[in-house]
This record gives sequence, C-alpha cells and structure tokens, in this order.
Amino acid sequence: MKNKSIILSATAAIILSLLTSCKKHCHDCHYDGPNGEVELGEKCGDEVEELESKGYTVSDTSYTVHCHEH
Amino acid sequence: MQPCCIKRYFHTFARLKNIYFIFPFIAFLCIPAVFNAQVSIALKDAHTLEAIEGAMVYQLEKDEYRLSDALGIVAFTRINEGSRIYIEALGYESRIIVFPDTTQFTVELTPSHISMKELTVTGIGTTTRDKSGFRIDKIDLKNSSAMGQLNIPEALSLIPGVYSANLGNGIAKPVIRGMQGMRVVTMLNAMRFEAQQWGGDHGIGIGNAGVGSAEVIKGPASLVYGADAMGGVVILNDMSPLPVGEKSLVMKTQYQHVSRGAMSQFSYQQSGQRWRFLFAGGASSHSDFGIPKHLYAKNSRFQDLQGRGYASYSGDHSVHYVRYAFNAATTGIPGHTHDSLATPADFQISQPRREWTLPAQFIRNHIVSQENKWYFSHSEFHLNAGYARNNLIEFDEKVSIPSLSMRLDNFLSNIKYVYRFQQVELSAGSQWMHQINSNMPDAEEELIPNSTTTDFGTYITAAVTLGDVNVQSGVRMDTRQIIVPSDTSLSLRKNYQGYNYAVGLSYPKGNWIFRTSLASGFRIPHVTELLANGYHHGALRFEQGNRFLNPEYATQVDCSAEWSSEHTTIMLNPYVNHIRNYIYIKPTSERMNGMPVFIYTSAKETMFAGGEASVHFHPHFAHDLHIQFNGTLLRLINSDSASVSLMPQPRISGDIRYDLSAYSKGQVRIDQIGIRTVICDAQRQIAIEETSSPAYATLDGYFSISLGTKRRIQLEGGCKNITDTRYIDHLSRLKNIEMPFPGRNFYFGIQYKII
Repeated sequence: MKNKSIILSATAAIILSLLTSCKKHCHDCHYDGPNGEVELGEKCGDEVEELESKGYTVSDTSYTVHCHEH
Repeated sequence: MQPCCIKRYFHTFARLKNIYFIFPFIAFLCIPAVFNAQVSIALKDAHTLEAIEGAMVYQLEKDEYRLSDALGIVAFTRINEGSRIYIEALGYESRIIVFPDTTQFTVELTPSHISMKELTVTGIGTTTRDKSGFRIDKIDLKNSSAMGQLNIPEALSLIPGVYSANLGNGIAKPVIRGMQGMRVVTMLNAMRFEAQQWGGDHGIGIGNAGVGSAEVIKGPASLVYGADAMGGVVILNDMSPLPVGEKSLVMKTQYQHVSRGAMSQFSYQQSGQRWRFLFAGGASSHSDFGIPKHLYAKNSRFQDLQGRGYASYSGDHSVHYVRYAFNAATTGIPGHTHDSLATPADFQISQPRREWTLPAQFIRNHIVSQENKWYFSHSEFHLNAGYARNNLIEFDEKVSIPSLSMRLDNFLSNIKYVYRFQQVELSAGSQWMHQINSNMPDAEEELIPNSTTTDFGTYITAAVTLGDVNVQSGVRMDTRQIIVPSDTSLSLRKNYQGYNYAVGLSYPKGNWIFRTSLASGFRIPHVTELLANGYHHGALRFEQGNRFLNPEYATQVDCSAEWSSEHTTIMLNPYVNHIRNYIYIKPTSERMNGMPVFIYTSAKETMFAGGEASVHFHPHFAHDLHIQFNGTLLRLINSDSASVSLMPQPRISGDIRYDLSAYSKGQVRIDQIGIRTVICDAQRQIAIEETSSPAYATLDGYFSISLGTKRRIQLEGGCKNITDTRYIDHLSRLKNIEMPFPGRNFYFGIQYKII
C-alpha cells in the first residue's frame, strides 16, 4: 500500500509538472527606429506572432520587430 | 478413401492456402518444451569450496537474472537444455556455462580481482570478452552522474579512442577514432536511432534516464550494423531487468553550480516470473554556463524532459519487449550570429539567463519498438520492429516563425536466425529501414529537400572455436535508394549497393588475450552532401552539395594485446583505417551575400592510423586503490591532410580512486573518493580554414557517500576543472569564437533508493 502511494504520488508530480510547464511564452520585443532601438515591452503568444509577421507600423512606416535578448 | 472424398479434402485444403504462412509461427509456439521443472545451481569458490552468495546468474536466452542465496544456490524454472548461463560474482572470474541435462549441478568460480571474461554481446554472437574477436568497450551509465557528467557523449569520452564534440553544454555527439555525425551509428537496444546527426549543431538526441550501459565498437562495423557504420557504433542499452522477484524505485537529483543547473531523475523497475517493467524519466534545466574570469557563454542554456520504459514478457520459449523512449529538448545555439563583424566578446555576457532566446533549437524524439526472441535447444529466432520520429525546429530570427522545421520518420525492422552446435555459432539476418525526411510548411527556409531513403541489408556470420583460437567472421550486402521528389528543382533518384565483410580472431592464453581483426564499412552520401544549397548559419557559410559524390569505403586492421594479473591490466590497441572517397567540405573562391561558399567534395585516399593504450593497477598493499591511465593517439597519414578536419587531440586521462566502502562503518559510509585528470596535447594536423589548438590539462575530484544501515541514501559530488583552467578543445564547435569550456564547476547530488 505504501509503495503504491509513493508511485502514484510520483506519477502525479510528473504529470503536474508537465501540465504547468505548458504556459505561454513571452519575449521582450523592440524595433530599430530612425533614432535607435525602440522597446515595445513584453509580448506573449499570438501578439508576438502578429508583430513578427506584420511588423510594427509608426506613421505609415512599418518596422521589423525583433523579440529576443540583446 | 473414395476419390470423391479425396477431392473434397483437397478443395478444403486449397481454400486454406492463404493461412499457410502462419504455420511456422504456430509450429514455433507448439514445440514441446524441453525443459526441466526446476533447476538449481550451486556456486562455490574453486579454492575453498565455500558457497558464493550474491553472485549474479544471467540466463542469456531469457534475459533473466537471479542472485545466489546464502548457500550459493540459484534456482531457475523453465530452463532448456542447451541454454547458456553467464555467472558473475565480485572477486571471481566470470563464466558462461551451457546448461546440461540435469536438475542440479555445481559450478566452481576461480577467485580473481580482474576478470577478462565479462559478457560481450555483438551482432556476431554472445560470448565472454576473451573469446570475442572484436574488441568492444562497455561503460556503466547508471552512475555516470557521480562524476558530474552532463550527457551520454561526455560519459562515453572516458573510453580510450572516444571523444565528445560539443557545441556548448546542451549539444554533444560522440566522436569515435576521429569520426562523428553521419559516420557513427547509434543503436537504442536493437533499433537503429536517427536524429539528423548530419548537422554539426545537432546532438545525440537521447537522454540518459533509464539507460543502463553503453557499448562502443570502434571502427567500421557495417557487417552487422549496415551502411554508415564507418567510424563506429554506439549501442545504448536500457537498464537491465532486476533479478526475479525484486523491485526498485530510485530518485535522484543533482545541482551543477557552473550552469546553475538542476537535474532530477527517477527509475522504477520490477521483475516477476514472467513480466518485467522499467519506467524512468527525468528533467533538467541549465542556464548559460560560466567560463573563467566570471563571464558566461551567451545562449548556452538548455532544458530537457526525457522518459523511457519497457514491458517485457517471458514465455516458455520466448521473450518479448515493448519499449518506448522520448526526449524533448530546448537548446540555445551559442556562437550564432548574422553579424559579419562579431567578435568573441559579443558571445560572453556578465549575467547568465535561463529562458530560451534566439537562436534556439527544439528537438522532440519518440522511439517505439518491439523486440521478440524465440529460443530452442540450439537455435534462436529474433524479430524486431520499430518506429522513430524526430522533430527538429530551429528559431533563428523570429521567436514565432521557425527558420527550419524538419520531421524525420524512421521505420525499421530486422530478423535474425542463430544456430549453435558444438563450438560453432552460425547466424543469418536481414535489416530494413525506410526513412522519410519532410520540411514543415511553416518554416522560412529549407536546408535539405524532402526525401525518402530505403535501406535493405542481409548478412551471414559464423563464430568458431578451434582449440585456443576463436574466429568470428561474416559477409553482408546492402542496398540504399534515395529519392527526392521530381516536382522540385533538386530532384534525385539514386541507388547504391555495398558489400562488406569482417573477420576477427582472439587467442586467450594464460594472462594474455591477443586479438586481430579486419573489417570493412561503407557510407552512402547523405542528402545534405548531395543536395545542400543554402545558408548554414551555425557554420557561417553557404553550402553547396555535389550529387556526383560516391560512397565512402573503409577497411580497418585492428590489433590488440591485453595482459592481466591479480593487480594489473595493460592493454595496447594499434589500428589503421583506410578510406576511399572520404567526403568533406571545402571553400571555393565565391561568396554569396557576403558569406563564403563551401562545396562538398571527396578525397580519393585517406588513411587514419592510431592507437589506444590503458593501464589499470591496484597495488597489493592497497587492494581498494585503483590507478588507471588511458592514452589515445590518432594521426592522418598518406593523404591530402587538408581534407579532414576536427581531428581529436592526443590525450592521456588518469583516474585515481580509493574504494572505501569496506572500511566505513556506521550510518555514514564513504564509498569512494577520486581524482581525474585529462591532458591533451596540441593539435596541429588541421584542414582548410581550420586553426590549430594548444595543449591543455584539467583536473576533477569526486566522492560518494552512503547514509543509513541499508545505504538507501547516496550523496555524490565533486568539482570539475578544479583549477578553473581556460581551455578550448579542438573538437568544440565554438572554437571559432574563442569560447572556452566551462570553468570550475562544483556539483552535488542526492540519490534515494525508496524501494
């Protein structure tokens, strides 16, 4: 009985860690503007995907967005 | 019988013709069991005739272990006449016994501090090490973390002739006698494992949780392992089943301070009379590792999650395994940049980080296999099948859109029939592999096109004992077809064929074992080498394939001499490996968008010559003191030396260890303390665009302690690179950015045996 409890507890711990690890990933994003780097702050999930694929538009100018460490 | 009745029976029989093929299998299952109800074996010391307790007795056909009791008795059920039993006991010479037709017999073991008769399982046969014509090195991986080893290639580098080629901490692959990547075949138990190893920035792809041991075959081994086994073979074995009736649950965790890295693993095993199970898993997380002068290697961080398990059923004449393993890793790619003006300082940072950033590699590997063995008095039949999926995704400039996304599907199967009579063992087998490489549509680039590869190989081998000489030999034929679909500009359809052979002799005499072998191997050009046409950012170059490349052919002559006494073992192993059509990559005078263009080509003749040596000594006055030194030397001779890059540095490694478990008493027992040194000489034999590497030396220390009367808790720890030496190994993929290996690294771990 004791062995069974230990095994079940260990299994539950592993499953729990797997589930909690599936979280949205967030990144600090920026673009290279005319006066240097402009920070856009932390972006997550679909927002990151949209920024990277469509860029960031300022006054009809679209800039390539970078979401990684400097 | 009336003619009409005969006709009726004939028609009935004809309708059943489609099920004729199952008759052989039914016949196998229905063969009367020629076995004794229960057999007991008594183990005794050959000198004192005292019973030997705790000896491991392994029934080879059933893959079943049992331990001898206090009276030295081991009892087996369902054991066939002609079955083989391997007996191993601490302080005694191991033996293989062919089970006689009796229910009770005695085996006397000869006391010995060093055994030359460890079990060796090769594709040609199962025998003791002294009778194997081919030298195979085996290493225990269950406790590799005790020496602070991070991954399997690092653990394998303890073997003479084997190195680890690293790209930071998270990416490593084994190098055997100077060959790596596509020239080294990796086996997971009986299945070949493929994980895009053609890339210099692609690691071995397998975690070490649940892996019990590794065997390394050095040099060409295409006879049994087929095409690509040019440089050697690494065979990773799951943890062996426990002795019948036992179970075990072990959890361990370890911390490494140089990368603020944590690793946790568990393994559960249970062995019954018929069923046996293994479940193992683990996770690790490492930040950027520290280098001397308080800096850190930018983006050398990695995390992984791994698991493996098997369920095994042992029938009266058969044993079956279903195995599954997975590995999911997220690895930073250090040293990667699009900046043509980057300097080494750009890749060294003052604060380590852990979260993944660009560029990064996501790897997911799943392997499922089924292994079946039916065995009889003098023969065996093996039937194995498996499937492996490898997903390799690289993010280069965007975190949401991969630059590279490939999937490799691998279908494998193999069969083998073995027949033994007197001193002869014959085998015949076939292997089949179908591989599909696909580029996923969401990736921005394609480095190699979609392709399918189909292999088929068939072989026969023979192992014969003629007096004191043991001879193993065989021949093999392989075919490979590579198809790249014709709707692309890189369409290709190529067929290759290769013939291989091997012959090995061993001559054990007194304290000596002499071996010599001649073996061939061949490697078919990979799709990368044939059709590459793109930027390889990790190598800062544009690569062009060459569809006119021919297969490589290798022939190796290997000789070895081992001498063992009660206190000393000395081994010398020189070899020569001749290769035709050695494929390599060389620069051209062209540039593509500022990047140099490299093209794949081949050298007509290349010859490697080298040797390995080892000395293991434990003095009479201190039996528990072990002093071991290994040496490895590899040179390129008689060829265009500019064609071969990444030649390992000459190396001497030493290990001095004191086993204190016999002296420690009470609740706290020191099991062992040791120091290890690695000394590498400069490497000046370099290829085009390669720089030489200076000599270096490192020093490590380690210990392990057991707690409690039942020794359920083990503490292990140590320090790697005690002197904080700044060094860069010649095989490092980060040499071009002058990134050193990790600095001083303290590590500490706890292992708890719950059951």
